[in-house]
Amino acid sequence: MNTTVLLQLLIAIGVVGSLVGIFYLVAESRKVRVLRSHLSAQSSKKFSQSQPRFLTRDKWAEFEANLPKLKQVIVVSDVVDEPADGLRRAVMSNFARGVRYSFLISNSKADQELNGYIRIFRAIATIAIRDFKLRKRPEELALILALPDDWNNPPFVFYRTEEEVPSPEGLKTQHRTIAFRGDKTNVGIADRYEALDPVVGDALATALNSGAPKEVQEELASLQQDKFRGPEILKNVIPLASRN
Amino acid sequence: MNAKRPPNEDEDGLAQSSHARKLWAWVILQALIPAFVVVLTWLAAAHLFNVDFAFQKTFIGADLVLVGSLLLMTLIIDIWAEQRQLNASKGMLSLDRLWIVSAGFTFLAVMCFGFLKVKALQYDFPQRGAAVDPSIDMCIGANIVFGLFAIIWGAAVAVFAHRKFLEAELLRLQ
Repeated sequence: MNTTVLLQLLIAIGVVGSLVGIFYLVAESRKVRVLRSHLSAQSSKKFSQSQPRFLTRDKWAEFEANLPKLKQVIVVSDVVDEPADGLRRAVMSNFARGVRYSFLISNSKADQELNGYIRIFRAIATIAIRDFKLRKRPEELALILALPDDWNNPPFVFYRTEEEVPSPEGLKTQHRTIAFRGDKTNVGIADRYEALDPVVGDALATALNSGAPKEVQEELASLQQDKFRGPEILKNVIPLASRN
Repeated sequence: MNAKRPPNEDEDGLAQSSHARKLWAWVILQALIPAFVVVLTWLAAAHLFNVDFAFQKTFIGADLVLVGSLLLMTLIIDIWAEQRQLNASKGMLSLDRLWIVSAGFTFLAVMCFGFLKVKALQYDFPQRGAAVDPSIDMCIGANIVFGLFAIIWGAAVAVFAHRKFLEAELLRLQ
């Protein structure tokens, strides 16, 4: 094979190879773009799944005291437990900003609980009303109602907030709720709480509402209109570094 | 601080972007910049130093083929190292076929470089104004075309290796 033919062959290989290479390069670049978007979606999913959703009792009290725009706390439990230490301070600061505590407790224990720790809640509410000159009665700030049956489950707590959100018509009031489930049954306050997914919290509120006495339904009716939110709120309320 | 970074800045994201940056740095630093310098050399020789047959003398040296070959060599070394890492930590994707194809291209490019270099040494340039031997022009054409071929395939192999890396990351996340 003479040199000229060899050079021609090289040029031909080079031209064809370059064209094929450009085509391949463009096709691979497109695949890389698609993969990157998939990876970005997967990373976000992984990140949201890795969000801590558990709070110890102390951190839970801290969360309760620091949740912005809090309007109501609904506790569904077997009994009412004593608010001690951080939780007592959280309850005090919440009464000071007019937050209402509603306890929905086991039917068979409702009467005895009227003379139980609910009195401490009402005593704290009385002090808050006096100190912060609130136009409310202690019974309005700390309410206790009996469920139709006994609650042999862990305590569930709903935190309702009232926020101003922008809308096309201007600022609009929006109620949002986050639900927690405790880790112990037949107690008023658990050792550890898990933030529930919005769908689970919403379903629980609906289930509690159905078949409940009128006064309980009135108390839970507000939850039906609320928008439920997930554990992501935890990172805004309690710094990640201090969470257990 | 134990605070977690948002998803677009997490370790996976950093690994992806640093892998892509590394490959593009090689393509740019090892191929595009040297190729640009070769073109600048030709322009300087022709317009600043008035060298006779500046274009032919610049491009007959098979510099572009050498640049493309070096890029391909770097990539096959990296793919080989990455293959070992994939086997060790992920064990999911094989880059064997890519390595063989890249090595084949590299071998072809190096052989062509040798052939074209030897051919270039055999040519004598005539006096100013005289016509150049057509075989010199053909050799220059082969140099440029094959140089571009090697550089384009170097870039394609780099993007392919990056795709494999992303696929492995995606599998790991799933």
